[in-house]
Amino acid sequence: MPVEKLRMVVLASLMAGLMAVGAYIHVPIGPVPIVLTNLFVLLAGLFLGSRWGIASAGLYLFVGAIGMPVFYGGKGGLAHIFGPTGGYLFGFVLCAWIAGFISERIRHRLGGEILAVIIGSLIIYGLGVPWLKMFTKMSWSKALMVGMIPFLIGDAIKACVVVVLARSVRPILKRQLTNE
Amino acid sequence: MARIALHYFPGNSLLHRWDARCKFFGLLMITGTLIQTRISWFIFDSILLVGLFFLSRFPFKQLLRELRFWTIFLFILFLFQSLFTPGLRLHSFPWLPVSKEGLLLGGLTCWRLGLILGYAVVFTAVTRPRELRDALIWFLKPVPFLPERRIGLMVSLTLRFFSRTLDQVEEVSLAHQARLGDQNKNPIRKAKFLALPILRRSILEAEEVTFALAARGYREDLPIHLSQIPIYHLMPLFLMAGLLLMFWWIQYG
Repeated sequence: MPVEKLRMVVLASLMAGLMAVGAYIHVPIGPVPIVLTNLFVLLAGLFLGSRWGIASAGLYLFVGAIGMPVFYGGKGGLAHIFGPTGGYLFGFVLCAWIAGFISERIRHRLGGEILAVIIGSLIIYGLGVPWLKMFTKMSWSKALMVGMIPFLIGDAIKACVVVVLARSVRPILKRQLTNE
Repeated sequence: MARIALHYFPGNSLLHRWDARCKFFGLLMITGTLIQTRISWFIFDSILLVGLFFLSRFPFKQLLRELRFWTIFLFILFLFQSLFTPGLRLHSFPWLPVSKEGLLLGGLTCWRLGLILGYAVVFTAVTRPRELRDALIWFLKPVPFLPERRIGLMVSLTLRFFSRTLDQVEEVSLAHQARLGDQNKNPIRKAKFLALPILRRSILEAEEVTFALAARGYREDLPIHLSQIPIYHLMPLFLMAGLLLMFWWIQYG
């Protein structure tokens, strides 16, 4: 296997590992807690691109599905994926792909990366809120109130951090590649 | 924080020698039982976990010392659940701002998380990353259009990076404290000084792993030969399945 492809395999695994670490840094409020996993999901998209971003988020889900404690608050197992917060988990996969896709198309320009992060974050809610509503039989307004609105401010801060981190980490990786 | 926890711990115990594919099946069965909300299931899973810890000959005292991080984490989770779950105040301690329902919910949530974590610690302690990778390849081989070898490698790498990053978080935090960085009141500056070194170190480690794999000539097209699972390795699995079915029958039958 070429080193470039091998590097992407390892980096996708690293991002999946970081997503798992992010799940341990959370604020448990209501049925959907604020976690840092989505920060690393967005970072995977911006950092690795659409193909490897989706692979990384899919890998994270797979590791959780086999019973490892990598979901928010140390949860794991298939039952959790198909539980009330499963929509957010599937949203992570789509979010990484969308964020990576937009970031690739605009060639990592600042405005485009901000757009990628905003759309990526909304995609998570686009899947998570209807899933939460379906599982808990809440009304739309209540599902939005418990599953989206309380997290928007936190997400805005996380989005800023993602863009800053992506732009700080990319030169480190480039330097590594040139030192090869 | 995670010096032993979630790392492979070399040994020659019964659990270490048990076939990784059987261990994996066992883990799947146990995590399936953790969906239950009945306390009796939690007690059953806890007794089994303690038994497995003894069988694995794990340095229990050292592990307990290193699980401080998770204890604090579970305690915070318990506090949140007890304080913010609506319900009746306790009769004996009406001045406490916690509800009966919150205490019960918080207790059960932490118990369940502790069990998931405990089983994951035992599984990773007695299973070499290579054995886990081979077991996953064996499981995924019948599924068409899946690069089972790559998935196996990526899962074992993810688990390695997960535990290594937790270690690095602790190391960087200690270095930060040693330089009086914890005196800084600005949370953004604090986060920046923690996140950037951790990310940088993680990327450097990823590069080392990439070169190590390339140097060993990692290929995905080589045939893999996994031996058949010996029948005496399957026996504990059947015993475990039988126990779980019997317990389920007692509960719901």
